[in-house]
Formats: sequence, structure tokens, C-alpha cells
Amino acid sequence: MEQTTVTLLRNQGSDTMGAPVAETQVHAPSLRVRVNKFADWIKTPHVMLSIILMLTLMYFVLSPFVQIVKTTFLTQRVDLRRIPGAREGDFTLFYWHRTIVSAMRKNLFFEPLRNTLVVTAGFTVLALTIGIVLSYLVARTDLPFKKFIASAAIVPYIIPSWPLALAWLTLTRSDAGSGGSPGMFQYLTGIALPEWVAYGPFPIIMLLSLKYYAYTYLLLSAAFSTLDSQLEESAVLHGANRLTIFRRIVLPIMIPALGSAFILTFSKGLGTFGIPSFLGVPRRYYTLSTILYSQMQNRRTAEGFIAAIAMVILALVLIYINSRIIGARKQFTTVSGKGTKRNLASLGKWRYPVAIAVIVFLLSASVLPMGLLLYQSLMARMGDYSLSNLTLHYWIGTDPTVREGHIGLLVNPRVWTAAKNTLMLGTLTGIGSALLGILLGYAISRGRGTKLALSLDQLSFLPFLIPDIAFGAIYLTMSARPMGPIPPLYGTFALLVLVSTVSRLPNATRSGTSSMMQVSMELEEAAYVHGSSWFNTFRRIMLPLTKNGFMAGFVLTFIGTMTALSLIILLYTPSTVILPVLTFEYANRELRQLSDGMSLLITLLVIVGTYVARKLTGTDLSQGFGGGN
Amino acid sequence: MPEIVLKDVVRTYGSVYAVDHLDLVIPDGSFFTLLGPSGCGKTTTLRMIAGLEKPTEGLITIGGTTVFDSSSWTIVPPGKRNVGLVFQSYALWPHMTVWENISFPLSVKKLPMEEMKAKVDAVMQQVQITGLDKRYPHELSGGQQQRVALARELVTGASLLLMDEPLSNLDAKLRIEMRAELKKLHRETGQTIVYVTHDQLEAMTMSTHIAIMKDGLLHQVSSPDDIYCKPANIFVAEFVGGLPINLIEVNAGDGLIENEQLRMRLELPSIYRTVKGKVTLGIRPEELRIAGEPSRTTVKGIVDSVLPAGSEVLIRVRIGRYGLNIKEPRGIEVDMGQETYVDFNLEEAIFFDTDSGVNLSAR
Repeated sequence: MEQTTVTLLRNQGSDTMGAPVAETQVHAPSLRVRVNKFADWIKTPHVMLSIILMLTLMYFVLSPFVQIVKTTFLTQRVDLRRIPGAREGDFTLFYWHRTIVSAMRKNLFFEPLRNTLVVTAGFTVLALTIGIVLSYLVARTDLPFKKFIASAAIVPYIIPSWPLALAWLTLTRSDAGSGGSPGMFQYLTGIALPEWVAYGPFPIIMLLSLKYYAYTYLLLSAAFSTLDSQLEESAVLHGANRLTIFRRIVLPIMIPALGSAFILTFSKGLGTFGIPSFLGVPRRYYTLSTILYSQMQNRRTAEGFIAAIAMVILALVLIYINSRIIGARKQFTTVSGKGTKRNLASLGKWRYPVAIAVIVFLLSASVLPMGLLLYQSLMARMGDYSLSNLTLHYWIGTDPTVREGHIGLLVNPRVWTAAKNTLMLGTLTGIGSALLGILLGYAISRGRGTKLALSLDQLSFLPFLIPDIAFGAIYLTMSARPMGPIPPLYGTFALLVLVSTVSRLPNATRSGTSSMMQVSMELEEAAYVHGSSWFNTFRRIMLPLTKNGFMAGFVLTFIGTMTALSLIILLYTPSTVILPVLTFEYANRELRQLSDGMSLLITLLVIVGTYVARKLTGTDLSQGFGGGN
Repeated sequence: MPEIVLKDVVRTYGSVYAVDHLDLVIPDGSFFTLLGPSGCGKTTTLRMIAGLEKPTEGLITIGGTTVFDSSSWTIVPPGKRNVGLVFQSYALWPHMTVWENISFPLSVKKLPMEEMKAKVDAVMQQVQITGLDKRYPHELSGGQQQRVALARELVTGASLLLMDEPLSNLDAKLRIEMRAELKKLHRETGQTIVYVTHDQLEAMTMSTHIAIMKDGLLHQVSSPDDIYCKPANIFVAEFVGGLPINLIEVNAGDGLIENEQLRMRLELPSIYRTVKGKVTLGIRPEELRIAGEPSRTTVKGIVDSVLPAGSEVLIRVRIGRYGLNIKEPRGIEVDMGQETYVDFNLEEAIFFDTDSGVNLSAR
């Protein structure tokens, strides 16, 4: 057998140190050495874990991705009549042709694409503007009531956003163009607002910016709070005024952070479904996400997937640009960690007026809509906003002979089923994704620098690129057939848990990785030195030490799942209905009192859940991840 | 018994040699210190002995047992090497109490509770932390944490104790105290201790053997005394010693050393008669004296700075392009800018080959 031999000619001893002349001859290692080396490598805990996770992710994340692309090229059974002479499963360009070449292309693809870009760019710019002002005020000035403002500012990030759409309609609807009952504004003033106020791009942009400003606020306040105030102070010494400093010093320094925040917000909002669905679809104003839903509803799966692919490509491009910006940002060393002074800029006589303006804004973005929803849920007949029209029927009414046979939400068994399902989905998904996140985090942080860990990291990030609605669509197709060893899951609760867990992977992995990174490798090694096995070490050392991260991951997922509408909308069945989906259903059937009441219920649940979680775990949910939309 | 042998051990990271063909024998029962600047490969060497790091090539045996052999890729996992390792960060598990931390190694070995209690109590007494059982690491002072970390590694009675810069996080006073204690501990237990540090004073005060490393290469293995008095080369000479050694390039021959630019011309003591050619003179600050008058052993210079340091005074004298460090006892009176003479005690000088840096006198 050939031996690995290393021949050395090296002058090395206890008393001399000549110029090192190494002549190394390495023969190819023998088979035994290679086998041993491989066995040794694969037995390394994080390697083995990585490989297992890799296969799992490929199965649940990558293969759907491939599936979706494949589907757009294969003849679907429902389309046999539309494609003459084709058999099911034949290769075809019919769908692509129809979507982006044929006369239908405008309605099916290019208009939704344009609308998506307009809406997303619109609300991103608006949200960013609000976010800049707000985060600057909170992080850098002596604004009063700061604590309240800081926590009120992130409320839209936690609560579901589509109730805003329902509240908006309650306020602005008119009976002029669209028919239907008048909104509160018309009732109070007698003025019928033009239709573009109630429906279409304008309200969609306005309302989405009310949700996403919280996101930009979170992104930017981190950047603002690390900015060295000496930079501002030296400008003050040279006689610059507040506005000049903000415009000429602060903003330019913040540009990389702003660029990054723009991209992140844009890609996050790209697949948003709830608000465009409530405010766009009734007037045929489609975005990619809503056209996808409507295609799926019409069993035009392949055409729907093309919209999904377009969204993924858009997101990919944005992520690429973002990584370039982040790369460039490293050259900006102004935002330093050490020696940063944080002296607050004084607002002078404007302190209180500014604070009041901010608070009014925050309340009108959160409390006011809730009030509107509550009021409408108490109305017996739509359009009549007088006090005499108020009733508790839609909450607790049990008489099925009035109000078109709808009984109150709180006594409706369907609502209770949905509530039970929602809590169960949140709990199971929370546990599942937190556990997966911790394991992935372990594999990624311990294998840092290796190709395996890198590809695992990237793979776990993939679901971020797939909008929730598209994710639902993919799993809808997949679940109709057995997936390898897994039986067809369509209609089961397990499917909802699976899809929710997979779609939360990017967040779960990120938080799992960061909590694992905080646990020094040495804490683990100290146990190995004494012969502790990997499993024992993980159980007794790693798991307890990442407990907080685990809990935070659980809570965030739990809350996110409670408001997840677009992910589940294509997958639920009557027995697996959850609260957001039920709300959507009511809204689509124009049962405003019920849908508004449900929105309130969900929002309440989320707020209570967040509060309880905060008390229990001491976690700061503001670093979290927004709910579904 | 754990004599540790490293043979031809190589550890590379990419194309960088962290440890470069290292041959080392660590005698049983020694207090063996790996000394060197950061990045010299000392910690990597220690971790390879512990089994936390795998060499790229080479052979390691502990007490005659092969724990790593690249020729067959045999690896004994860290837990089976019967070693203790004190980390620089102490690596105390923050969610466990002191007692839980110390008893962990025993619980892995599934010792009965009674035995566990007895052993933990004994070791806590040994390192003087009795009574801290229920505290958590963050409730302890740095010195106490250090002792807990030590106790955790002593409790199994492993005959080989590895320490990675264990004192570097302590304040100066505590460090001196712990040095004495570690030395005492070594005597009491008779364990082989492999100790990693970049602090030459720590190495000098505690060790029975010192191995000096730089850039992955071993430069010298000797007793602390020999490291100080007979450094293998200029690097070693400069690395050890509280004040840096003075190095002057001179020409040697005919029993004299000369440097014309410095107007230096000194007679070599008889033991150095063989030194010839372009050499570097190394002389420690305590072997130089301020002299009032010129003599055959002095060189003229100008006082650059005077730094009193309690028991002694550090004086810097400029001679040509050289600034010489001189250590004088307290009470000497010199002024900055004053002309003076420096007296060289060449009996204690060391001569190096200027090009290779190798110590000529040690031959």
C-alpha cells in the first residue's frame, strides 16, 4: 500500500533557525486515508447536520422552485381543449406565448407588472420618507414622548395591514360611480369622493406606505443611532442650521443605508396581496400578486406561475442590487461602532408641536382605522352611520332569521373553528420553524466559510424571493400528488403547517444563525474535551444558551402566521380555514360588518399575543419580521 | 505517562502555514510553555494536542498513544485523550451554576452522585472557591471565574492540563498572584502542563521549558534561563526580557569590536575571541552602565530620556543612530541632553550573525 510521505529538508532545531528551505513531496493519499478522511469529515456534527438539512431544503424549497418553472412549459390537463392536438404533460410554449406575446399580454401580464412597479415604487418612496423623518426625530433629536412614539411607530409592523383597506373603504366609499352603500365621509359631508380615492393605485400606495413606514423606520433608526453626532456638532460650530445639517451632512452619510432600505422595502412589498386585492381587484386594477390569485382561481395554474416567476426575477434583481450597495457601503466608514457620541439635537420651540404632529399621525394610522372598523361592525344596515343604526347583532346575534341569515361572530362555530386552527397553526409553525432555525443556524454558523454552509444559507434564503401567494400556488400543485414518501397533503392541516414553516425559513434561519453566532465555539469545545457527545452538548449547552433566540423565533412566527393571508388563501379547505382567510371570504362577499369585526379580532389577538410574548420572553419584537399581507 | 510528541506536524489554512513542520517533545511532568507573538501558531498547536483542531499532516502521540496520524488518518476524539483545557475566555457555561459547571465532566462520565460531590468539593477547596457552588458565572469576579475554569479541568484528574492564555483577562495584580498559584499547583499535582502565552514574563516565571514560536516555526526550546541568556537568534533575544535588548552592528576581529560611525572600539573578553566579521552585538539593559569617565569599556553618547520607575531608572542614551536602553538602580543623577559615557559589560554580551540572526556565541 502506498503511504502518504512528506519529505522534509528543513533546518529546524532547538538552537538554529536557518533560512527555511522546504522541499515537500506529497504523493496521492492512499484509498484508506481518503476513506478515513471522508468518514471523519462527514462525521463532523455540523457537516452531517448540514447535509441532512440540505437534502430537506432541496426537497421542500428547491424542488418547488423547479416545479413552478417546469409547469409553465407543460400542457395542463384543464387546457387540453385550448391547445389543439396536445396531450397532458407535453412541452408547450402556449402559456408563455399567451402571457407575454399574444393580444392578451397587456391584461395578463404587462399591466399587472406596470401596476406592481408603480404601486411598489410609490409606497416605498412614501414609506421611506416617513421612515427617515420619524427615525431621525426619535434617534437624533430631543423629541418628547419618545418612548411612546418609538413603540407606537412599530405597531403597523406587527398588526395585519389589510384591515386598513377595509377601514379605508368604510371611510371613502361612495354610491356615485361604484354603486353600493356610501362611506362615512359621504354620509357626514354629503360629498361623494371620486372613485380613485377609494379604489386603485392612490389608496393602495397610501395604505401600504402606512404599513411599510414601520419597516423603513426600523431599518433606518439603527443606522441613525450609530451616526457620530460630532459630525453634526462640527457643522453647528460653523454656523449651519438644523435643516442644512440634515440635508448636507446627515442625508449624504445615510445614502447607502437609505439605498439598502429602499431595496429591502421594495422587495418585501413586491408580493403584497391583501390591500391590492381589496382596493384594486374590484376595479380591475391588478398587480402581479392579484393576477396570480385570480389565475389560480380560474385554474390557469401555468399562467399564474408566470406571474410568480416574474415576481421572483424582480426580487432577485433587487437582492443583487442590494448586495452591491451593501458591498459599496463598507467603504463608508463614517458610521463607526466605537467612540460614537450621541448628543441629541435640540428641536427648540418646535419640540412639542412636532411631537403632537407625530402622535396624531401615528394614531390616525392605527387607532383611527380600528375605530372605523369597530363602528362599521356595529351597523345594522350599510351606509347608515346614525347611532340608531347600531346593533351588536354581528358580534353576538344568534337569530338566523334576520340580517340575511348571518349570526354574530362570537357565536359562529366557523369563527371558533378558524380561531382554533389559527392558534394551532401559529403554535406548530412557531415550534417547527424555531427548531429548524436553530438547527440551520448551528450548521451555518459552525460551518462558516465552507461551501456547504454557504449554500445552505443561500438555500434557506430562497423562500424570501418567492411571494407568499406564489408559494401557496406551488404547494397547491405539489400537494395534489404524493411528494416522495409523503402522501398527497391537499386539504390537510399538515399542508398549512408545512407551507408556513417553509415560508418562514429565511427569517427563522437568520435569527437562528445570529443566536448561534453569539454562542462561542469554545463553550461547545469545553464540553467535547470532556467526552460529551454532540447530542448531549447540543441539549445541555447549545439549546439552553439559545433559548431566548428560540423563544423570540417562536413568537415572531406565531404572530406572523396569525395574519398570514396570502400564503394560505389558495390552500385552505372548510375544515382548515383560519381567521385571516375567513375575513377575506367575508370581505369578498361584501359582508362588511363581519369582515371588519374579524379584522378587529385578529388585530386584538396579535396585540395581546405580542404583549404577552414580550412579558414572557423579554424579547424585542421590533427587530422582528412583519406579518403576512 | 503523558509525554507528548509532535512529529512533523503541519497545519495550513489555505496557503498559510499556521504550524510549519513542527517537531516537539513535551516531557512528562513539565510545565511547558508555548511562547510567541499572536499568530505564531501556539494556540493552534495547543488545540491540535487537545484534538479540537486537526493537523494537515503529521503525528501526535500522548503518553505513547497515537492520537493523530495523518499517514492513516487516525484520530482520537478530544474526549478520549484524557486532557483538561482552560480556555482564554474560560468558556464557563453561563446557564449553569459553578457546581454544575465543575461537575459537568463527571456527569458526562456518569459518575455516581456521591463520588461526584466528593470530587467537586475537593477540587473547589483546592482552588479556593468553596462556597460559590450556587453562583452563576456572571456573578463571579474575573479571578473567581478563572478558578472555576481551572477547577472544571482539574476535577477529572486528567494527567495533562492544557492552558490557553488563561491569565490574559485578569488585572495585573491578580495575574501575579495566579502565576504563583499555578506554579504551586503544578508542583502539587505533578501534571504535565502545556501553557500558551504571548507574555514572556509569564513564561519565564512559571515554566520548566519554553518553546518559542513565530510564524508557525519553532525557534528555540530551552529552560527559561537559557532562553534569556542563550537566545538562539535575534528574534528570541528581542522577544524575551522586560526591556528590549540593545542591538548594535559591529565589526569584530583581532580581539576587538568596532563601529566607526559610533566611534566605538571595545576589547572583546577572552571567551569571544573567535567572533569575527560583521556581527550584531546584543546586550541587555542591565549590562550597560552610565559612567562618568571614559574608559576602555565605554562609548560616548547623549542622554535622550530619563524614566524613573520606582526601584530603577530607565535611561535612554543616543549613540549615533542607536538609542540604547540602560537600566540603572534608583538614585542615579543624569539629565536629559547631557553627554555621558556608557559602560559595556561585554562578558554578558551575545553575538549574532548579522545576516542570519543566529547566535554565534552559543556554538
